[in-house]
Amino acid sequence: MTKTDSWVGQVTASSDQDIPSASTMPSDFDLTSASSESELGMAQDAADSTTAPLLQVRNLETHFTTGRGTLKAVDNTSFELDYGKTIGIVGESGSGKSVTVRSIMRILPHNVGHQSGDIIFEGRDIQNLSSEEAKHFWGVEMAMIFQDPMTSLNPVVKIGRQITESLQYHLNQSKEAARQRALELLQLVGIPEAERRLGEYPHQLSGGMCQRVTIAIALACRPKLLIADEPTTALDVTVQKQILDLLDDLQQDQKMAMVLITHDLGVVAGRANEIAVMYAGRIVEKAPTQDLFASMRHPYTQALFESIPKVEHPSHTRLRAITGQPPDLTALPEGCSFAPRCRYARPRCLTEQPTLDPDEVNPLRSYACFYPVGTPAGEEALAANKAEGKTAAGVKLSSD
Amino acid sequence: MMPRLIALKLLRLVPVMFLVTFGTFSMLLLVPGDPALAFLGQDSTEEQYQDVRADLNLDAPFLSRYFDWLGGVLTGDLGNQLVQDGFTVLEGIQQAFPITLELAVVSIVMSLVISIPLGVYTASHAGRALDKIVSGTVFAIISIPSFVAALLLIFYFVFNPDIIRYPFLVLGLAWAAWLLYKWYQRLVDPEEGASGIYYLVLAAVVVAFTLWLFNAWPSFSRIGISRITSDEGIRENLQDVFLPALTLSLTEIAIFTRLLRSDMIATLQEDFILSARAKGLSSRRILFRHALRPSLFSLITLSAVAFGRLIGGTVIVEQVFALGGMGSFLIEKGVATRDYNVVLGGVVVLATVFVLLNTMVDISYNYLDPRLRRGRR
Repeated sequence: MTKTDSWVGQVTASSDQDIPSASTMPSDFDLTSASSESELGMAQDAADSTTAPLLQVRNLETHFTTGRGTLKAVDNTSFELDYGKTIGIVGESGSGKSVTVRSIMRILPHNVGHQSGDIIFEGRDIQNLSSEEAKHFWGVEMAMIFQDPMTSLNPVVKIGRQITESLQYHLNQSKEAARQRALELLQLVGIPEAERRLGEYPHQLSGGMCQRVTIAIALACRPKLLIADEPTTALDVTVQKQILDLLDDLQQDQKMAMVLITHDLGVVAGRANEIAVMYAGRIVEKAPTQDLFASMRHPYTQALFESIPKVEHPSHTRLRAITGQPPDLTALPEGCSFAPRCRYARPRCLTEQPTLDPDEVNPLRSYACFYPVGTPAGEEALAANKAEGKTAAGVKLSSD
Repeated sequence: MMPRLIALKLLRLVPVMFLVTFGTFSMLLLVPGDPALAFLGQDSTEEQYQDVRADLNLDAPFLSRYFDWLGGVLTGDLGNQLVQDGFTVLEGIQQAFPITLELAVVSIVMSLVISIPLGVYTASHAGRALDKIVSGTVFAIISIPSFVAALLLIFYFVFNPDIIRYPFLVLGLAWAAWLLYKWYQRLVDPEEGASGIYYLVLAAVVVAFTLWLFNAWPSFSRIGISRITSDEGIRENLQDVFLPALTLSLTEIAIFTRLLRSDMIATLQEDFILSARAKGLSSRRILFRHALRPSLFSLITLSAVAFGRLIGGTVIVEQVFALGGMGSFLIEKGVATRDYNVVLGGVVVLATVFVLLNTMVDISYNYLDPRLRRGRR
């Protein structure tokens, strides 16, 4: 099997364990927690200094050529991110969240068939950088951390060397200066006995420590944007919170913007300023965090949220899983891609694709749905489906 | 600690070597034929025959003969060559072994120097046109028997050098022209990169080297070898060893390239390669600094095995080039004439080299993969 095949396989794969679950602490849902307040306040300060957003992604499309045809991993996706702020991208496996950020980081596999759209960072389209500019752009202006810290560090290179490498390569620092900075960075990410750790190898550290090291590596060149691709998925629940809190602190400290990818709404609840929910390669709902959790408009967002078990539920309550399977990205349905699984789906949803439009009342939020949850149109659609006993796509509805 | 580890590994070789010598000694006893008869030839008297048997201690019990011989080996005495009178086995090996060793070293080094870049390149361009060409060629080369390859190389390098020389000149100049073009691109458009002068210098080096080699094209010798210690010096020696070493390398290059390619493709799928890419490092740096080392394990193991094979089994190539190395010595002076002293001595030397090599490979793993060092301190 070639390198690229397996990678795409991973993107399209979906399994039960990838369905969002509440693996984080209940307190993460508390929007008024101290950490989220201070973070929002800080982000406000940073945003005041400049007007143009740090990152603008416009109509991003990334398609792969596979044996089964064109795979539309990301289709017509747009979002913006201001200096110092955090956007959470939420969705199940195969929804296109990883491919979106990998397109931004330019680390896609070789079988990209088609890529279009603008990725504008500080006013420049980063797809048109000259080769000299590009050489010291990724890893300096923006950096990324990955899901599994144990495998994303090179097993045969000392930790110190892995941190100093980009300092020497990108910033031309001397060996001694880079070493000093590496030491600082390890202390910054809360690694005890940093001096000793510099000379150790990744297998000598725990998973949480490794993730701290990858964060140190990402922060080495003081990026303005940090992309965290499911940074806590591979970690213990107790360590997850530590790492997320560390990212919060560092973000304030370094005045970085952050793209936080997760399949767990709980992770982004108290940490992101804005949340974009992706499904089948598109953003289906985007809203400031408070607005989103106050009322979810897109049926998929609602279903995702309801599938999280709640602490206050009595034990043995049945989990409200989303019926059906995520769509095949090589053969997307003609209409709304969520329609086959949606409780609100009407005949229109099967033939026409809704676009991501701003809400009439609150223009800060937008969603791609003809029958949004909590609106008269949506209530009517649900009532009509219940009366018929099934949705337009044939999903049976119980009367509850 | 490393020195303790090495000492430990060497200590473990003692029983291995004991088994090897014991096995060889017992197996030679099972071979039909009488050494005394081989020594004397057909027309000898009974007295002569008994004399020789007594001389060679052939009537002593098996174990006592073995330990006698082993005692000799440990003191550096491998016995006399029985058939070719007047020479000891050690003298024969001293003649043959340096030739074989040089041949093996040169061809392994040549194989590695060529196959590592090829393997890295084909792995990083897996599935593309040039990868397919290289992989296909490599497959074709594996299937050429070494005696055919030797004759072909002699035909082109010794008798028709121009067929090699001129394409070499053209290729070298074409490469230089491409480098000059790169330099020109950077001259016109400074945005492209600041290191334009690097291409200019490289182009000059390539031209100089190409022209020098074209003019001073060495005359490779078809047969024989002059020793490094001889009056002609190292240059003559390397010219002599080049063709046989290249013949031996061809197969190794093919195998090494394919092996490294597949290991490297596996490494390139690792997460840490993705994160190295996200660090914004150049792809050359990622390939050589991050991906190469974790991909080298099988290659190192295999090259040690190949080296051992070359030390003992280059008979055909030695014959074609009339080199007189260990292979020829063992076959001609030992096996063919039933001289069991020569066979025993040869096997002891080859086995020693082989197990030492494997120990070195074992130790090198510890350098390559820090994960193996755990628990050894």
